[in-house]
Amino acid sequence: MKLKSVGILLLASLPAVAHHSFAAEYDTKAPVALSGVVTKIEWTNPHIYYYIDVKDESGNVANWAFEGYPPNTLRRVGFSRDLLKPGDAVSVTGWAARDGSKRAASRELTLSNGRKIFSGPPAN
Amino acid sequence: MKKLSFIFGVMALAAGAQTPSAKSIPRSADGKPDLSGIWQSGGVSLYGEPAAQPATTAAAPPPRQTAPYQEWTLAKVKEFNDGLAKADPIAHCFLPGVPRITTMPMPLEIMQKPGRVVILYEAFHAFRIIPTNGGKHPDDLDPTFMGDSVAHWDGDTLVVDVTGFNDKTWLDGRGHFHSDQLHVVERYRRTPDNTIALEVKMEDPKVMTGPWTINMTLRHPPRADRVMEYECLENNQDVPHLVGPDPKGSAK
Repeated sequence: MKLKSVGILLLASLPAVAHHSFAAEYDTKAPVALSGVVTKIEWTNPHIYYYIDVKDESGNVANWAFEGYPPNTLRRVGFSRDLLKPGDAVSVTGWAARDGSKRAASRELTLSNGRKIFSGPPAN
Repeated sequence: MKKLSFIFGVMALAAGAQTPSAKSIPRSADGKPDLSGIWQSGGVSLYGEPAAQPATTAAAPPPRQTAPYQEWTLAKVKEFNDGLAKADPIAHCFLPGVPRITTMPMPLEIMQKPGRVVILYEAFHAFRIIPTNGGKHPDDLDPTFMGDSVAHWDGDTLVVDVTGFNDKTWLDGRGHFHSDQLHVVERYRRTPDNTIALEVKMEDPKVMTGPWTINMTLRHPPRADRVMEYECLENNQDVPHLVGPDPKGSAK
């Protein structure tokens, strides 16, 4: 599995908790960087989710769920709901779930055309 | 014409007699400060991404007082925090209560007319209908998440008194629970720099040792021109993945 740590410089920020404590679900000490193919997008509240098939070195495929900002927030920062489509090859950075499930909080999404956009908040 | 000039002259004198700040804030037809519009206290649609913020931005929240909580509550607050806030009521999509609703990183709209202010919050579909004629709370209040609000004008400051709360919300994301004796006083003051300075005083004789006062600044969010729908229950996948002890009923 292509799962490696990435160093991300986090500036001090204290955004109000929108829905749940970040640390209650995700491990800020477990950054992830995954690449794969988008299988599904849920443009929903309180968070969007996009799912990516990630292939490891042995060819095994695992489907990962990435949580993001709510739809209204994304729309306001220029991330429209048709930006991401099933079949797109993408890379995502974020933080893995504490409970070991194949879930992560997303931060920076790199689209197949190279465009980078934040799909979720920084760890806090 | 001479008479008209005289009237304008008197008006100019009257305006000159006002303080500079009183001159430069927008006012509604009844002369009260105009609080109406789209406002937000924090979040990406207000400030943009943290990495894009200049170092001088006012993004950092003002320092808070340490919550003046009674000794007996500290173990409970610690338990909530050790549980990484799994029991946080808003993680379960409950209304955040007052004043926490105003800290949500989403816009709100204040609508104002003589005798009444209505606040529509994007977060959790919350709304408040606030009489501003100085009336009293009804004496038969059932406890609710958002409480009952009544207001009066203290000069140019709208003072909102909120009571009638249930004990099912937290005052922040750090486990500060409260009782049904919570009493909140909000002071909304329109400033000349196009913001609303909001001072909030919280009192709760069952959990606090004295008043807890916080300050917020409401600004017009450059990326949000209207309040939209936020239906928290639509796809709330988080709860089974939150670590920590399960919440036991309400946040008592």
